[in-house]
Amino acid sequence: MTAMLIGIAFGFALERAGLGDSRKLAGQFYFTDLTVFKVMFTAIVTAMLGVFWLARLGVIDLASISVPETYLVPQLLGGLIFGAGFVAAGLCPGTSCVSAATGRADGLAVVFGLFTGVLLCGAAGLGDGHFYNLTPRGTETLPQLLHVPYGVVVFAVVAMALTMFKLAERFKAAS
Amino acid sequence: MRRTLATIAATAGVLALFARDPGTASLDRLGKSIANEEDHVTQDELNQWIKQKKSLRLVDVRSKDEFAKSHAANAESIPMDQIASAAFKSDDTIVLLSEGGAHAAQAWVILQMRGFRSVYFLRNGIAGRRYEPGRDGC
Amino acid sequence: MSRPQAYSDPYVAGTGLGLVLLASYVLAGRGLGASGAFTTVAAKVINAPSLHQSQWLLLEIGGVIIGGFLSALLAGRVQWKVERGSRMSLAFAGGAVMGLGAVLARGCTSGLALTGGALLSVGGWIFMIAAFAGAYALAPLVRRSWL
Repeated sequence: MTAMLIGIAFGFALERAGLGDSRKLAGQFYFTDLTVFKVMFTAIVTAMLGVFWLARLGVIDLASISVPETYLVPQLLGGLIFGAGFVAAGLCPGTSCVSAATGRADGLAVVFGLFTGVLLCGAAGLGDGHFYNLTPRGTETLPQLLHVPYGVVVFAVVAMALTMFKLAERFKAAS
Repeated sequence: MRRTLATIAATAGVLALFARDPGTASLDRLGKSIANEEDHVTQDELNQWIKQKKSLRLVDVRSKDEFAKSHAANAESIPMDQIASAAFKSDDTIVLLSEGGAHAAQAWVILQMRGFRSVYFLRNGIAGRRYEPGRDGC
Repeated sequence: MSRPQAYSDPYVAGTGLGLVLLASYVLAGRGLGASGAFTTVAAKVINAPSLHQSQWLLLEIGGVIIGGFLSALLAGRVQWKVERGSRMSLAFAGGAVMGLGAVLARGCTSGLALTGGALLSVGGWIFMIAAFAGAYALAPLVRRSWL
């Protein structure tokens, strides 16, 4: 199935970048290794530009791509919590699988931890709670939120990313 | 390598600033499809397809009640309000049916926007079939 | 065993990752994900329908494991490695905490930050910024385990 093929390419790319190594990932948060930032944002910019232009050229329909739904408060809080767990573990769900697949025991530990955390959430019925369903916004996008054309936001993201990459390289050269 | 990637990204980003909104590209395509009459089938064409045993999904977008009263053989009921989220495979050939064809035509737009290309609606709807000249002696 | 290769340039790897994400959008009409695979298994194990389930993600994560292994194999980076005790317990604890965060947010870095980020989803960007903030905030407290 396509899902598996895409997954294989995904896992392959993650490992190539070194994101299966928890130490490398953690380095992001101590400013010793900015790989996480570079890989993530390069990927986002690449895919973002790809979607914009393929849609613009009529190759794909924007409506045919599922956009994740927005839940302001749960995602803000969930993000903070996730980040805290992330720096402790040094891996995220995707990279933990890559890490475990390459023989790293701490990767496996993260996988088990994730399962435990998720199981507890399920047992506690978190998904049915009031808090969980706060502030839904549907598939809102930044252009819609800011009332700014899609292309303008694309430009802004690219500009911001390239600027930050430049800074990241300067930072590395200096340290 | 890095410089090349950065240049490509920068160019694509700047051009995006001046490009027409991508949402309009799909609307252009739809308009052309409709003008070229590629969006619908007549009862005769549908009968041909059924005779050829072409793999089809006949989707009736009328309400459940109307469907229960009478519906075409092999038709499945997916009311209008569920069309946007109904499950189809990207290579399904879908033929939409409604009473007069208007709702089916609207469902056609929805499914096209969802990315399905092999979608058609029955021109003049089920009613058109029922009152075909010569058939019912009118 | 051959000498382990150096990792790829992050920008090049990132571009590759972005292309995989783009391919996913085009071929599957959806982006990548990871936490969803975990919730799918968990939902079956303890029968918790409130957790998000996705057959697609289950297959995708299977692929991630294969792909990660393949890349490491080709680069001579497959090696059983166990860290010291405190690292392992923090890894487990961090994983559990991430599990909570991912369920609340309905996604993780793969499904929300990457996938949502590229599609300019408000939730995706909020999650991403919040995650970085949360990580930087806790970093000083777990510094010792990384040294």
